[in-house]
Amino acid sequence: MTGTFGGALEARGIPAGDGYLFSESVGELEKDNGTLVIKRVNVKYTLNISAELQAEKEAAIQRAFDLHPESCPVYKTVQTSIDISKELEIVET
Amino acid sequence: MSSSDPSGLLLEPLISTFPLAGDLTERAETYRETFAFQEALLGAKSDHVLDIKSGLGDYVGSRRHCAPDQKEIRVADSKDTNDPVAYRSTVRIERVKGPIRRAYVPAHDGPVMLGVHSEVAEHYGVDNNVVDPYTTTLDYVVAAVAG
Repeated sequence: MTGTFGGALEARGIPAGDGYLFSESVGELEKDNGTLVIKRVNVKYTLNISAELQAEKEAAIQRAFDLHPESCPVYKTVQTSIDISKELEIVET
Repeated sequence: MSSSDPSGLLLEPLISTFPLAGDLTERAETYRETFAFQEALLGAKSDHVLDIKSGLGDYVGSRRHCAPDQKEIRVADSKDTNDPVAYRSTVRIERVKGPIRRAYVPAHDGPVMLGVHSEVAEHYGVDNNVVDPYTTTLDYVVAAVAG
């Protein structure tokens, strides 16, 4: 998802490489009849961006954040069996 | 814990295959946490060694927040006991450039590189003569299924 989100940001003129974008995710596994099963994954993005660009691109960032999972092949592969949530923290640089 | 104690009887044949059990016994006695420990032993599905080890594993897991050298053991509260999560996998992804990302995954020194190659690169219009080819996330999904 990070790759897809980064691509969606850059397509909208928002830098997302070289330290501008990273994610920290937690996957939670539970036992299902003794078998470990991935139940949910939370992806927390951090986007470093200048205050000026954020003000200019706020709507575009939100749109990329909202829509990118549907363009992510892995999300689309596993989303019916794993509850995937996402967060975005914007850090002004 | 005396040998007449039910959990002690279960523990004796176990110590040879689960050395940590002896240490846990001592710590449990020291900190008067025998109830939780006995519960771990007696709460096993059966007296089979694997089931008892599973119970002990859950007991140890409930204390994963304690540093190894921490002398005071925190008693598991009801929230910990009811936590259905058996394992939390934490992963960090750094976007490098284009399709290339660094993934930091548990129990692996250094990052795992992610990218695109062959038909996937072609699908995304990436020229691997310009952008280095790396294993795709989709390859890792397939590997995870096969693994």
